[in-house]
Amino acid sequence: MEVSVNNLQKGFGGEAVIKAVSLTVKEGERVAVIGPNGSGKTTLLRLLNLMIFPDQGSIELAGKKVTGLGVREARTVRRGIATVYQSHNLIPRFKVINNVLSGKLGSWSTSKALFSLLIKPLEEVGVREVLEMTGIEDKIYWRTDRLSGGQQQRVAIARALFQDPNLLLADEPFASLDPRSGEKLIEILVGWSKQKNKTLIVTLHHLEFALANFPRIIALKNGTIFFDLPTGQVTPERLQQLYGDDHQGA
Amino acid sequence: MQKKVPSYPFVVHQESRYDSTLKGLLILGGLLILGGSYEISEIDISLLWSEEGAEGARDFLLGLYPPEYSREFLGFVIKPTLDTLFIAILGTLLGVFIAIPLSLLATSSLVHRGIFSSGKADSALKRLLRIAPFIMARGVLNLFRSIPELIWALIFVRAVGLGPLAGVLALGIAYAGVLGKLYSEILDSVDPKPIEALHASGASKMKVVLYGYIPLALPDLTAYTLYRWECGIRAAVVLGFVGAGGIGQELELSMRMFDYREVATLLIILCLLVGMADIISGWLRRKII
Repeated sequence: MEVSVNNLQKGFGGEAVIKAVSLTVKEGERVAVIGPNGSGKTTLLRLLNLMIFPDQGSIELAGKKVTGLGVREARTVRRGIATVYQSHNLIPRFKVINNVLSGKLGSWSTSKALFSLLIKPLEEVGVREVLEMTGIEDKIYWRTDRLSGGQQQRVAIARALFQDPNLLLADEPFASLDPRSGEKLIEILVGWSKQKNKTLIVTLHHLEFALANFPRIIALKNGTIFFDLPTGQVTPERLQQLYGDDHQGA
Repeated sequence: MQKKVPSYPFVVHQESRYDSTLKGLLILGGLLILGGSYEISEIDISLLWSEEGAEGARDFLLGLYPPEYSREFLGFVIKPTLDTLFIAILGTLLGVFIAIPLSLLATSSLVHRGIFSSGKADSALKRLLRIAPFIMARGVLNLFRSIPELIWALIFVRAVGLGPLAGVLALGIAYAGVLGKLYSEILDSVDPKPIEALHASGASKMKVVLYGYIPLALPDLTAYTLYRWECGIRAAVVLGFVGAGGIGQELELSMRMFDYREVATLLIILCLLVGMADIISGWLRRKII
């Protein structure tokens, strides 16, 4: 899914968080968004998955303008976008399979959703497939809150993949994991994007991850684009300028 | 993004003086209300240790022993006991069924707050139309809740006659009011992050309720419902006093006949019922949480 953002602005309580951001991400492209805390990374992602709407500017997804859509149309667009969060945001008491299945809720009828929840989980084969991709297939019938933080994040990624999106957004998905688990999970996301030629936009705290896995880096600072470069052109000086004294990560 | 916090010692000082004056006024007002209500309601505490008061209490307490345990009486109270139990169960269930749809309409994060409404810059009329069911649901719940179940029972005894049905209806309506308000508050306080995740994947509101709100809130919803059921057993007894059947009605009769031995038996049965409800609801809670 091609993402095209033009002169985007968003503020909360009179304070501008995103100021005049314009960018284009092509179909199948993989982009890391970096920047200090409070630079607007999360707000940008929430604008892209239509959780919030811009004060000004426009967003086009796959060539279609998605700003100013009605409730139903916005919901249809959201079905094509999956989001992975820093905290996995799963339902703790659900079995893993039901959490993964909830990725498809957008395309399921209410009666199908009810049947799957109360009587028998549907589409087990598909769920096993994505759980295999995230390496946690053996826990399919476990209660989710019995898994470790890293395992739950694997379930959350499986849910996003099960949704079969055209655009996958991830908001600091590995910030609360140890680097080695993070490394593995990022390989899963990148692998999926490469294999299916789907767009992947990830905000990352960890510069090392960003530089090692993404061909293009967008840096946000104070709600504006500080730089938008192929990874090869991102120099230590630029990063130093981006983070100032607060240099972190790599 | 730093926020400047201005500090004005002068204002702080003024505020604290204002606070202590306010506190003094509140205490004074409280004392006045206390004294006033004692005067106006004509409570006479000395009755507690007066000759007649003591005699009445002594007669009652001595009369309780031994409880009536004749086979005939015990056989007779089985039916009213079951009636009370069933009034409590059916009344609470009716309350739950009425409360569920009303509480969903009355949950503000599903209607006009939070992610489901963000970004919509609707006209005032559209916004009003969206909030109207919310206000109506809250109004109905308030009405159900502010009229006590005893009054509901009096109303329903007039409407459907003496007996358990009036008790079930009274309990159902009154508890729908209480449970509906509790449910909407519980639903409003669930962790918003999993809700956002479901909403972001394109799930409709109904499906977000089924896969998000309800499972997240289930332990609290169950605990409060079971607690209400325990209250319902006691309430069902009281409803009997106004003719809604069950052991309450028997209790009232025995009291009126000054047959305190029967009263003792009925009170023991009530304690056993409540104790049993406690055990069952504890077990159910453990199962669900």
